[in-house]
Amino acid sequence: MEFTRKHTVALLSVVYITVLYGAYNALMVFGPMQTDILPMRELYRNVFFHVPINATTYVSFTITLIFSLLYLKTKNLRYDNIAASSAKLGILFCTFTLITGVVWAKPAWGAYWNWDPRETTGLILWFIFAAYFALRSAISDEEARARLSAVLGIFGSVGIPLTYFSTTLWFSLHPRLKDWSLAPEMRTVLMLMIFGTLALYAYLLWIEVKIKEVGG
Amino acid sequence: METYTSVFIVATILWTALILYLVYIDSKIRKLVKKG
Repeated sequence: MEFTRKHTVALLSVVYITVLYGAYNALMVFGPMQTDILPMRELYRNVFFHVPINATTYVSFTITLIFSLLYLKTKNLRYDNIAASSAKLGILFCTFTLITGVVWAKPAWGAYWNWDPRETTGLILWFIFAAYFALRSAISDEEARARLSAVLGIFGSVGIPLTYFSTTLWFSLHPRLKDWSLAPEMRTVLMLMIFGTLALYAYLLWIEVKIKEVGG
Repeated sequence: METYTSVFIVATILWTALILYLVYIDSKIRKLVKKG
């Protein structure tokens, strides 16, 4: 089935409305959190942006892992294109995760950067995929570039579980979502935001792959 | 609450601009794909 312009407009409309509805609820509808920790009363709103962006980061790098494996198995350069495009989006979403994280950390923890295990492993993940692009730009031969970056993409993906489990592996101040008790309506909005961000990622991946295919 | 109202308005403007930009980029890419 061809992904037509009508599909694009429909998909982007869903993304637009879903995320806008989520942001409206997060910023304008939900009241302050009932807690004695004063900064957290309003700061929890960050969860509706930080968590979906972070989930998308993990998905992006997982797609890179899958298509890197597929490339090594089949030697089809189309898979390399998808792996690299997803890594590019992953690094973009990872950057936004770090930004929303440090903005939250200042009032919550007293400093923008605390070398908390979650922050540190998140930064390591960012650097791994920064190295992925440094490697890609250093090799001109298409097949060698695809092969070596696929290997780095596979090994670099270790950073995903490392970041995810960093809060349980080491002592961390970072909140764990499973310890939270979000109200059902908040949970719904969070899920909608995750869906909206993932749909945006899917569209961006598709367009990025297309751009590369036409020689961009 | 006023702080969040202004944040929401700014975010809405930026979000609308991004989505419209993506629709524009999409049509550009489609033209290029058609041309081959």
